[in-house]
Amino acid sequence: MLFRVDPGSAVPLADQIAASVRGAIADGTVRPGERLPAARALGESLGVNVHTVLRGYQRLREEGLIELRRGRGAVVTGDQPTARARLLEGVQGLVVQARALGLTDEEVLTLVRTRLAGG
Amino acid sequence: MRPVRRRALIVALPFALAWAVVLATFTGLRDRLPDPLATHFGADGTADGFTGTGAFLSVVTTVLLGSGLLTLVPTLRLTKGLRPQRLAVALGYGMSALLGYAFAALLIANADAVRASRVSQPLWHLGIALAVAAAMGALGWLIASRDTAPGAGPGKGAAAPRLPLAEGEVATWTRTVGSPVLLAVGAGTTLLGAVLVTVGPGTGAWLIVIGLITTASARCRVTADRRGLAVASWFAPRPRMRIPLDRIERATSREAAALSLGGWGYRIRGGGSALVFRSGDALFLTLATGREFAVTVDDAATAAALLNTLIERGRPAAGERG
Repeated sequence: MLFRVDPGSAVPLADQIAASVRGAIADGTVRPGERLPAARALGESLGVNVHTVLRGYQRLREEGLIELRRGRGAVVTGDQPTARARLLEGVQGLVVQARALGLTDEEVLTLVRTRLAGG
Repeated sequence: MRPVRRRALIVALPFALAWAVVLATFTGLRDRLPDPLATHFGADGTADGFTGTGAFLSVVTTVLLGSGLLTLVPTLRLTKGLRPQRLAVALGYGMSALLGYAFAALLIANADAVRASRVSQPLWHLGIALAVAAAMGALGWLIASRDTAPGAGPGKGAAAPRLPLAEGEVATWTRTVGSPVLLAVGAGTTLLGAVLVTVGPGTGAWLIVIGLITTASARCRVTADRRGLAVASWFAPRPRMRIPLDRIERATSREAAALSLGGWGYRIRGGGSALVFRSGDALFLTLATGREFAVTVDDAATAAALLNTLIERGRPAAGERG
């Protein structure tokens, strides 16, 4: 799995780390049950703070892509992570496109709600 | 032309040429040659050894084509071009020229002789033979010198892969790789040690230690980043094996069978070492020392591309911990 962070980018480093993992899960490079590298080791490797890495991992946990267990580190969840990661990337694409169009958050949510109600 | 074929041609050509020259001389002089031929001469140039024409041709063919074949075979397994072997190539060129000249001159000296015992071969022919050999040897040296590492030719490692990175972007590639073979061996050794310990004290404890170490290294994490390549057991960052980026010349990836790398585990071969977990995708590093390091790991192509890109970028970032 390839982690890429660009300190010059406007995207927070933690989100960039999360995006790297999400992308790897989405394209099948990382499979269910696989362990992510230890946060400290990854932080040293990328030259970022260990807390930044943990924030990125936390984000992935909230998205249901990984499980964080004390002593076992971060493990990719066994619950259809590939499909879930693709869906999340789709959501990310939606947000980026909506922002580019200048839509407000409320307008985006209304769009999604209407679509959901329409089945 | 593939480098292997080109090298084979370069190395074998002078022997084939010398053989063709001798054969052509024989065919041209066929009607004027005595049988047997005078084939050995004393210091004063008079003949004192004789061989039948059939035997002479057999000897010529065996010696020239045989030595051509003997020089050819080792070059087929070369991976670094002929340049490091240029002395051997030059010697081959010189030797084939020496033999070719000697055989051809021998036939010419025999021509028109009614009886082989009357044939004479002055010693100065040896001088010419050596001069021709030296000239051909120099030619061989020059040709071989131009055949550098495969990177220069259209060989397999011609285009080392790259991974586009933005200015200032940092990237880390990491992956775990497991070895069913090492796991089985480790578990088996541990079990055997345990059985021996229950039977009675002795070597059993050592077997348990060795078995546990093998089991622990049966799954490793391979990491490529701005510091270089690191291989550590999957559950702990240390102990680990590390190759700093500035000691890596080039990275490539290809499929490799475990046996072709020397078996499972940490293997040291001629020209390099390898960490072999299983057969399949493997990362190959050409080190600054000229040696090679290989580790079998999935998605090695990405790791190779990242390492090449980082090598191009220059030395690892300052202030790192190692």
